[in-house]
Amino acid sequence: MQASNSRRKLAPTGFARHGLLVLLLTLLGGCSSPLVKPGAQTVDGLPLSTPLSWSDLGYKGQRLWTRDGVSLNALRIYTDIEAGEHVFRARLRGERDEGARFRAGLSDVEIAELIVEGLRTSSLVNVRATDLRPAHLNGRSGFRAELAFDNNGGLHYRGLVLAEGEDGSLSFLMYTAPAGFYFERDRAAVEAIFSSLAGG
Amino acid sequence: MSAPVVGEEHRARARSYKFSESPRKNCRSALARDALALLRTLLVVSCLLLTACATPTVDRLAPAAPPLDAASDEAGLIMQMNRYEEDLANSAALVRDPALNRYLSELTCKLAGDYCPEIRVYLVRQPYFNAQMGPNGMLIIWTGLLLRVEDEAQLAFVIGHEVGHYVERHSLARWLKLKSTSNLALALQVLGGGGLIGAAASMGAYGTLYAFGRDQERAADDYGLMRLRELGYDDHRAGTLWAAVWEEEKVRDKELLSSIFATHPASEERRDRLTQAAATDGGTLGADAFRAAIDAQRDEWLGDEISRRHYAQTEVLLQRLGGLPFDAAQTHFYRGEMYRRRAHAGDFELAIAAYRDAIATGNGVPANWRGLGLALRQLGRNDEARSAFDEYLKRAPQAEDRALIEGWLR
Repeated sequence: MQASNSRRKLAPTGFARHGLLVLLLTLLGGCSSPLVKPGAQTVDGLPLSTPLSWSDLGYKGQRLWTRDGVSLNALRIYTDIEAGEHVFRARLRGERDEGARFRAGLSDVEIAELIVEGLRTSSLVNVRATDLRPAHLNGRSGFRAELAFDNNGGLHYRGLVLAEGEDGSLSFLMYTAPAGFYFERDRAAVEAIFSSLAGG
Repeated sequence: MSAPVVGEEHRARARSYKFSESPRKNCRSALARDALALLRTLLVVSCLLLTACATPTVDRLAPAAPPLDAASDEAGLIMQMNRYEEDLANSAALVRDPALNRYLSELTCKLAGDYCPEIRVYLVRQPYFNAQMGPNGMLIIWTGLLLRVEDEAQLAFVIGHEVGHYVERHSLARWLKLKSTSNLALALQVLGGGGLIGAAASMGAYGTLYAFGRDQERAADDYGLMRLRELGYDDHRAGTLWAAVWEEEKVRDKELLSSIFATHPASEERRDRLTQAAATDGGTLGADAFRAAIDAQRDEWLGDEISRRHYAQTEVLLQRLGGLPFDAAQTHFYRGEMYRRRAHAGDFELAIAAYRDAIATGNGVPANWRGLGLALRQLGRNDEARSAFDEYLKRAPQAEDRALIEGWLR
């Protein structure tokens, strides 16, 4: 009897069982990444269309889409970076920290410099931006560029950037992948995403 | 100078954005990372404190010593360092310029004397003042050190100092001290845990373990000065170098920035000791040979220095370099780049003046006009900016940013 009572006391009620189930599912859900399905969609205010599916490891304002893992292909989508924020939203140590901060009024050339400097201070070497050209992002004037860099282990990467810094805030997409295979494999898909963003 | 990397590099990496991490992970693990960094620091400090009382005595290393007994303390230490050397050899941060590496190896060989065959030099692209000697004969020099050195005599002192650590087996003494505590294995595991942080940073972690004591640093200084004199260099240059880099250290924002001196902070005491120890009546400077050796790389290192974004220190450095017989236009240009990027009140005017100084030397590097145009545009002086950009595009018709600048000009 006592044992039975004891068990009854310890046994969860229906409500508690339901709560535990929800908690468990929530925790399990946290282990996986939401899937970005092919097609037209609005991502943090940017209306775009992707021909491929991606896993999204990021969050609002700082998306990180990948197909095979971040070191193999990564499409980063930063939106509405304000003046004074780090270009990659990295942590800054107060007002006097001279990190790679976005400033209102920067030209496209200077925004490209800022992105390159942000990469340089992220343990990457031989970072270069090439073929900078005017482009549109969500109907605003901006630019696009190609990137190249090496990681610390010596692996060579290439990348694409589409950015705009009009109206005092910065939004940009940056695709990076090892130059050997992954960059070219998904380049057309990324170009299609960039094209879908031109009109806004 | 001797003990590596950890201070600036490790702390800078701990607080910097990790490009390889996801933002979610970045956000979620910020506290965990800070806690880990704190744990590492505490662990190392604990090890050092626990071992501070006893300094094992080790004999000086004999040149071409016979192979080590595999069971010896030193064999284990050297095995660890050899693993790091293998990683380092593959690092993209290694400067592979053959002529510069040959120059550094030959100078090191001269300073190492009978120990020459045992020492290998690696030049690592890092914009901080650091050199480091492994007990296995691996000598690492950072490009930020070469940027700050003025002549061969100063570089010879730094290398001689590092050879001193090697000859006196200071790393082994340190290792034995650490091994006397049961925390060593754990310390190594924690410090070595950042497999993704790259060879240089890993070396930094090890550097904390091998941070030499004041007596060992003095002994290495004495060795470096002795070798300077034996080879006919002007030994006053050691104190001059230390005084110069101390000026940079003085303007550091101590609440914000780690020391430029990796693990071994500059001190007035060391500067004064080196200055007072100078005894030669003149001697070789080797300024021309040194400048010729670094000339092809210096532009890249100055760019790295600007990208470091520690502008107060960079300003002091560029002011000093501007007084030396390096390429004056190059130094003016990077002063312009520094002020333009810093963008404090009055900085665009200073940048414009610096770019114009560079142009006035007769230097035709197109980037001078590009920087000038960007700074003028920021001040709303658009007509002058247009003129500067026109000149830039005329001088650099294949410029990567041509389309963007033409777009603005239209």
